Order: sequence, then structure tokens, then C-alpha cells
Amino acid sequence: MSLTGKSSLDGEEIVRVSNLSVGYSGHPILERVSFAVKKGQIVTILGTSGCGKSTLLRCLTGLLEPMDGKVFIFDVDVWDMNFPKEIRTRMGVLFQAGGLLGSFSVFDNVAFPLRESTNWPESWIRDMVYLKLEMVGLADFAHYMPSELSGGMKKRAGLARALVLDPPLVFCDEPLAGLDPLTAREIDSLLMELNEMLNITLVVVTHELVSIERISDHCIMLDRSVKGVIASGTVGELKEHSHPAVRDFFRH
Amino acid sequence: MSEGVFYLERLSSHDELRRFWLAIKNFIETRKTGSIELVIGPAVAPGAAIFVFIRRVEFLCAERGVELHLRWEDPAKGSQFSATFDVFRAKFAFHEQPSTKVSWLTRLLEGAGHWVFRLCRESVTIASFVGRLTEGVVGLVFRPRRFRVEEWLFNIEHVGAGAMPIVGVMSFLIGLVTAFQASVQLRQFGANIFVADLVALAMVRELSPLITAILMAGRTTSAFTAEIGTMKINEELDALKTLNVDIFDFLVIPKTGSSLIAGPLLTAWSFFTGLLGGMTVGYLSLEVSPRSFMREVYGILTVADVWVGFLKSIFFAFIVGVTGCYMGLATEHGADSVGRQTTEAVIKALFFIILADAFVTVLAHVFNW
Repeated sequence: MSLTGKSSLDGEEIVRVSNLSVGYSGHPILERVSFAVKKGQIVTILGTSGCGKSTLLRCLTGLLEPMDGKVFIFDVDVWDMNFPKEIRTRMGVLFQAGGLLGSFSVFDNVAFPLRESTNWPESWIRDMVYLKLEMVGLADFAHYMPSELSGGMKKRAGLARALVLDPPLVFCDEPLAGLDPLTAREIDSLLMELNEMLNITLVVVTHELVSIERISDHCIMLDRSVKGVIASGTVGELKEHSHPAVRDFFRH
Repeated sequence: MSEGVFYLERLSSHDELRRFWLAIKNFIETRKTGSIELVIGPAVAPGAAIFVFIRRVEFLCAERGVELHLRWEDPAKGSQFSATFDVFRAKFAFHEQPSTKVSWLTRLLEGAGHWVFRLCRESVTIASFVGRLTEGVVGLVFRPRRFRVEEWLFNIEHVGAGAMPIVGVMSFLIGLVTAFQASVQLRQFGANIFVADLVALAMVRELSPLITAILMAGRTTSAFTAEIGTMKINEELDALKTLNVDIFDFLVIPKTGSSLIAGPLLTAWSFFTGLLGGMTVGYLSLEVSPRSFMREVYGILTVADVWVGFLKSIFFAFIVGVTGCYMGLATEHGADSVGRQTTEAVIKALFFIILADAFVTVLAHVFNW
């Protein structure tokens, strides 16, 4: 029960990373990284290509075990407990291309987590799935196969699936990659709406400058040279940052 | 908890909501009181799960004629909840499907109807494909320079020569096994020499064309489908179209043409190795010398037998090539489609091969070939 007492976390740090080192086959890409994500915020993780954004996200979402250090999600040391299932069901992950299962329809994709991890009957699941599809504007496409959707729709369907268990925390891996500016803006406003309406905390990995300025309450910038966080703060603070690499990033 | 008052203190998991709902349902069914009160505690955050839950309680109460009083202990959360979800409440009437209880008989008939419909539609597309192919071939007669000889020869090598080892080994073994099975019976009557007749007739009329065709369906049909399907996914076919290259001239005709040449040749090769297999058994266990074996074969085989085998091999080779190309072109977008099409292409090819086999056999019987 202590894992799930969610109201006790209001205004607290929902994700805390301390002295984290991650990498592949013994070579660290990030070393001794520490930061925290407060409840109700939209936090963007940004940086140039190859700085370890996606690697960090893989570690936070339980796909890649860290080499050293700790990750706390909902105040639980997740990697110490081998990423418990209770934590996984309380966070959603939006993959770069949506991550939809190709052999399932959109409806079945979104219903999948509910069927797997709840005792709900089909009628309740249908309500929930349509509710979430309505939120992302895909209710009319419930019976489409993922291969029949456009890139933006795939992402929205992936978002609906990530949200279907009402997670208070959602991770997004480059939600705007490969989208036109108009669709990108739609996805952005969708994320902001979710954050506002349902008080969902969002951790977004991205390098789209426009989007970063639009959505983020807080930014964490990674850099290859230091193998870690080079700057963190609001967009305004980062634009005035003393480090030239940070200012460079934000120069249009 | 006083009677008819349900207090949802916290929302810790989706499963708990279901249990809570079952408790309410149980209460309504046993007590049959006119009203219940649902109180939602301040620790419960308004989310979609609670919306679905409340909606289901509302349904239940409406169905049983029970009055429902919903109260949020934290009024701020209550108003946030209704503000957020009243939008959806209106839309939900639209998604409420009428109960679609269809009997299994109806579903069975519907499924059969769909199947027949699809079959009809598909035979139309196959017919138009073959028609288009014929048109392409006729066109090539008038403009022979458009025929891609190199592509054709390359495919013949790949489809024909490349398949010789496997076809040879398989046919040799089939000939061997046929002769061996027969030898057990024939020896009892001292009719050892008839093993040659049996192997020769079985191989030339039936087994050689069939073994070759089955191996070609596995090797060639799947390769054609996978190759063309991958090209379609990589938008290579679209690129060809924009470059004014006719896909039939470029892909379908050389491929089908190569399979038409390779099929009969492989069948002849299969017949030859099959006889070798029979000869081996005759020599080793039936005291039939290769020389007398061959003389017996020459004595029993007629030209008609060879013609039937040849006719079959032509039909089969055509099926192998056309099915491979047709299924490749029918690939939809998406990488998983290629694998599906390939599997289906092999199955379809095998099906049509057996169908053609039966057809030619009946034809031969009717005309006394």
C-alpha cells in the first residue's frame, strides 16, 4: 500500500535520480547524473544527438539497468527492486514511433494494458478505451490497424495506450520526431492538456526547440563533453546561461 | 458504514474499483433499498478510472431503479471531476453500442459469405493479373527487344540450376523408397523385374512433376513473393512506375518465364535421379541389373506417359511463377505483410498445384493418354 499512496506525493519529487551512470557494454554514456522531477511538471530532457537522452530514458523506464547510482520513482528505489511491476503499471511510456503492436487494432492496443493488469470486464474496458481515444481524438479510428494510421495518429494511439491505466507519470521519447509542425503542435497541446487536466507529470525527451519553449516547466540539458547534466532550469534561465554550449543550443 | 452508504476512501488499484462495484451490486440485489449514497473521499484523485466506475454505478442504479447520491468529500475535486468529464459524458452516448448478441449460426453464415465474397473478388483480380500477363507476353512478341534476356537467364540459373541438388537428392530418395516398398511385395511373387515398371510409371506420370513443383513452391514462389514484396515496401515499385518501367515487363514476365523453362527441365532431372534410386534398390536387393532395369523401363514407358508428365510440369511451373509474382505485388505496406504474403503464397501455390494435378490426371484418363 505504501507504493500506491499517491496523495502523499503532492508537490514532491516524483522521480529522483542520484549519481546515476548508464551506458552500454561497460562504456558509460552518462556518469554520476543527478536531478529530480517534481509532481505536476512537464520536464524536458534535451541535448544534441548522442548525448545520452534516450539512454537515460531507457534507464528511467526500466529497459536498461544502470551501471551505478539510484533511480527513485514514487520514492521507490526501482532498480534495487528490479523494477517492480507495481511501478511499471503506474507510469506510461510513449515510444518514438508509437510502439503499437502491429497485429492488434488501435482499440486492442489501447485495451491491452487493461486486459493484462486489471480484473475489469470487457464493458468497463470499452468505456475506458473510448474515453482515452476520445482524449487523443482517435475514437473514430478504434478499429483501424496501426499500419493504416499516419505517423501522428500512431503517436496519439501510443499516447492513449500509455495513459490507459491512469498513470500519474508519463515518459515520452521524442514525441515529435518525424512530424510536420502542425501535427507537432497538436501533440504538444495534447501533452499540455493532459498535464493540466489530469495533473500528469511528464518527462519528455526532445530536441525540438519550439516544442521545448512551448511545453516545458523545467529543462534538463545533457551534454556529451561532461557525460551528464550541463544545465538545468526554466527555458528563460537556460537562454541566459553562462555556458556557451547551452546558449548555442537555444540560439535560433 | 451505515446502510446504503458507500465510502471510497482511496483508489489504490483498478482491481479495487471492480471489487467496490461488486459490493454495491451485491448490496442492491440483496437489500433492494430505494437509494444508495456514494461518497468519494478526499484522497481519491479524479481520473479516468473513477469516471468509468461512476458511470457503471449510474448504469447499475438506473437499471435497478435505485436512486444514487454522489458526493465528493472534497468539493474542489468534485467540481474538477465534473468539469473534466462532462465533456466526455455527452460523447459517450454515441459509443454505447446496442448489445450485439448474434447467434453462432448467423456468424457462421456471415463468415462463409465473407469467405465466398473474398474468393470471388480474388478470382477476378487473379484473372485480370493473368490477362495482364498475357497482354505483356503478346506485346513482347511484337517488340522482342523489350524482353529482358539477362534477367530471364539469371532467374533460370537461380530457379533451375540452383535447385538441382535438392531436387536430385529428394527424387533419388523417393525413387529409392518407392522401389523398396514395392520390392517387399514383388519378391513374394518372384516379380522382381516389375519394380522398374512401377518406379518408371510412378515417377514420370506423378511423382517427378509433383516433387519438383512442391520444392519449387517452397524455393521459388516464396523467393519471388519476398523479393517483389520487399521492393513494394521500399517504394521501389512506385519508383519504377514513375520511371515509366512496366512492372510486368520488368519483373513478372522474366520471373514467370524462367520458372516455365526451369520447371520441365527440373522435372526431367527429377525423373532421371528417381530412376537411379529405383535402380539402386533393384541392383542391391532384387538382383535386377541396371541393364535389364533400363530395358524394362524402355519397354513400359509410352510417349503419352512422358507427355502427361511434361504437361503437368508446365502447369505447375506456371502456377509457381505466377503465384509468387501475384502475391508479391499484392503485398500491402508494413514489413510484417511480406512474411504473411510469403507464407500465403506457398500455401496457395501448393493448393493450385494439387488442383492442377487432379485436373490433368482426369484429363489424361478421359482421353486415354
